[in-house]
Amino acid sequence: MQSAAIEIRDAEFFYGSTRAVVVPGLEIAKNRITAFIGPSGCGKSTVLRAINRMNDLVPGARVTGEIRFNGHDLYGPDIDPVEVRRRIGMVFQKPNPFPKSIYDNVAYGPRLLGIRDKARLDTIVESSLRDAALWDEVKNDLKKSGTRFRAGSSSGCASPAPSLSSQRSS
Amino acid sequence: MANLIDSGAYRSQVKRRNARTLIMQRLSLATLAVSIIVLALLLLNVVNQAFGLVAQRYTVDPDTLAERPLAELSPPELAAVLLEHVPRRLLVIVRDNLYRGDPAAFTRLTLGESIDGDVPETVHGLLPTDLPEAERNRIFAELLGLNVSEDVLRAIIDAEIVKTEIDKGWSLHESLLNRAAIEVDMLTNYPDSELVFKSWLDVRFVTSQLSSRPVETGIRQAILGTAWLLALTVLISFPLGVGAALYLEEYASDNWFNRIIETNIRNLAGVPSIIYGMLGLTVFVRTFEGVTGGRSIVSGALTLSLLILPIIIISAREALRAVPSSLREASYGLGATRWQTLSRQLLPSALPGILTGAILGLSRAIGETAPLFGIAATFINTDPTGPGSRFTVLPMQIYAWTGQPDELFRFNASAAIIVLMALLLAMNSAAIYLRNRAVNQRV
Repeated sequence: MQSAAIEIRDAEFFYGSTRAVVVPGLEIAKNRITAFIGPSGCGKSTVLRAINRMNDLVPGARVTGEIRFNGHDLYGPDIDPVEVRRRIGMVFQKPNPFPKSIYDNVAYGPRLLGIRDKARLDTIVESSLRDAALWDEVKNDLKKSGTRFRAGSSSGCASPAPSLSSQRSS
Repeated sequence: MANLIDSGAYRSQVKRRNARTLIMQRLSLATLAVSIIVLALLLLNVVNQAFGLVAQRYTVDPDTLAERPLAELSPPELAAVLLEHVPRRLLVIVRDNLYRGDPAAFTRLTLGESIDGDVPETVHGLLPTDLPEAERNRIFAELLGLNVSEDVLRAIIDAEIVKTEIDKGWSLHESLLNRAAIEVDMLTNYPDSELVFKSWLDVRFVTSQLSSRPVETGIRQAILGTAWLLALTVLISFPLGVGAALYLEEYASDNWFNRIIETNIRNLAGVPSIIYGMLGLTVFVRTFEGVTGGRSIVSGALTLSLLILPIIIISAREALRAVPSSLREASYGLGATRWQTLSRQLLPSALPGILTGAILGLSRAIGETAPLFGIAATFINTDPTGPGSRFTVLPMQIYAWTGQPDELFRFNASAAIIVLMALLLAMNSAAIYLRNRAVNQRV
C-alpha cells in the first residue's frame, strides 16, 4: 500500500476537561476520497477540524497523541498552524461566503498568499469557478455580492492546497 | 373539534389570554406616549425661551444716522457713519477686525504689515502713530470700507453708536397669548422703549463673539471650541479605543489579569464625569502643563477621551464579537493569519458597530460640562487658533448663562441650546449616513 497522506495514532480530543473523541489509529490514503460516517455528535467534525488545526481557534480544545501529514507531526513544536491551513484546505458544511463580490471571494485565498497580479488572479478565479462548475452561471455577475451564490464553496477550490478535507452534510 | 371551540371553558381561556396581551400592549403604548410628551415639553420649553417680544430702545436712533436706512448702505458709506460718530473708536475697531496679532504690537507695525486685507499703496508703509489724528481716522474708515462686509459693519455700528438696549424680554408663550398685558407693562414701566419681536437665535448670534451684554453676545468661540475639542477627542480616543478593543477581543488570553482589566473598563464607563474632570485638572492641566499648555484644548480633549474611551472600547468589542464565527473560520480555514483575518474580515464587518459606539461616545462628549470644569473657560473672546488655545464650549456657555443674574442671558442660553441640539442632530445624522454606507458597501 502507498504511504498514507494523513496518519492519526493514539489521539484523544478534548474540549476543556471533557474527552470528546478517541482515535486509536487511522490512515487516510493519498489521492483517494475518504469519508467519515457516524451519528450526529460522534466527533466526525472534531477529528476533521483537528487535521488542519481549526480547533486551535476553539478555547479549551486540545489534542494528545500524534497526527502526521506526509510524515510531519502537525502538532509538533515548530509547526505554524497558518502554514498547516494553507496546505490542508477545508470546505465547510454550510457555504459561508464573505460579504464581498464573487470575484473577491474566490480570490481571497490566492490574495492571502500574496498574489497581487490582476491577470494571474483573473486566471485563478476563472479556472476555480470552472472546476466548481459555476463559471457559466456567475461569469457576468463576478462583481456582484457573493453572499447570494454558492461561490463560498469555490473559494476553497482557489486555495492551492494539495489536499482537501471536505465536510458535507449527511 | 366543533364542540371544543364552542365550549365555554375554551372561550373564556382565549378571552383571558387576549385581555392580558391587550393590557401589555396598552401599557407599552402609554410609556411611549409619556416619553414623547416629556421630550416635546423639553423642546417647547427651549423654543419658548428663544423667541419672543422684547422691550428695546436705542442710545441713538439708527434712522437718524444717515439719509437712507442702514440696510441700504454700502460698506464705505457705513464706514463713513462710523467716522462721523465715533472717530476715536476707529483704531480699536480696525485692530479688532482687521488684525490677527498681539494687540499691544498693533501701533508699532506699518499698515501694510498689520492689516489682514487690501491696503491702498499710498498708506502701505505708514505707522498708525505717524499721522495726525483726523487723517489717521479717515484712513482707518477707508480700510474698514474696503475689507469688512456690510453685516459686520452694521453690527459694529449697532455696538458702537446705536447701542441697542433690551429692558425686558418675554417668552414666546407670553408674547403670543398675553400681548395685552405686555403692552400695559410696556406703557407703565418702559415708556421710552419700543416693543419688537426678537429671535434670539439668528445668524449674528451664531457668528459673533461672546460679550458681557446679552444683546450683543454670540457663541462663535463656543462653537469653534466645541468643534476643535470634538475633532481632537476623536483623533485621540478612536484609535486608542479600537486598538484596545482589538487586543482584548482577539489577542488577550482569558486569564485573571485580563478579566480584571475588562471588569474595570466596564466600571469606568459608569464613573461620574466630574471625577474625570478632577483627574483631567490634576493630571493634564497641572502635572503635564509643559506638554499640554495648561487649560488648553489638548487638556480638554484628553479628559473627554478618557471619559468616552470605555464606551468606545465596550461597543467595539461587542461589534467584533458579533461578527459571525463562520467568517472567522472561513478566513482561517483558507490559511489566513490572524492579522489578515482581522484586517480583511473582522474589522470591515465590525466597522458599522464600531462607528455607532464612537458616535454614541462623541454625542456624550459634546454635551458634557462637568469634566471640563476647570479646563474650559466661561467668558473668553478670542477664537481658538490651535490645540494649545484656551477655549470654551457650548454646554459650558449655556451653564454659565443660566447662572447669570441678568435674566436676559436666559434667552441667550435657550438659543445656544437650540444650536447645540442642531449640532448633535447633524453629527448623528452624518454618522448614521456613514454607517449605512459602510453596511451597503459590504453586502
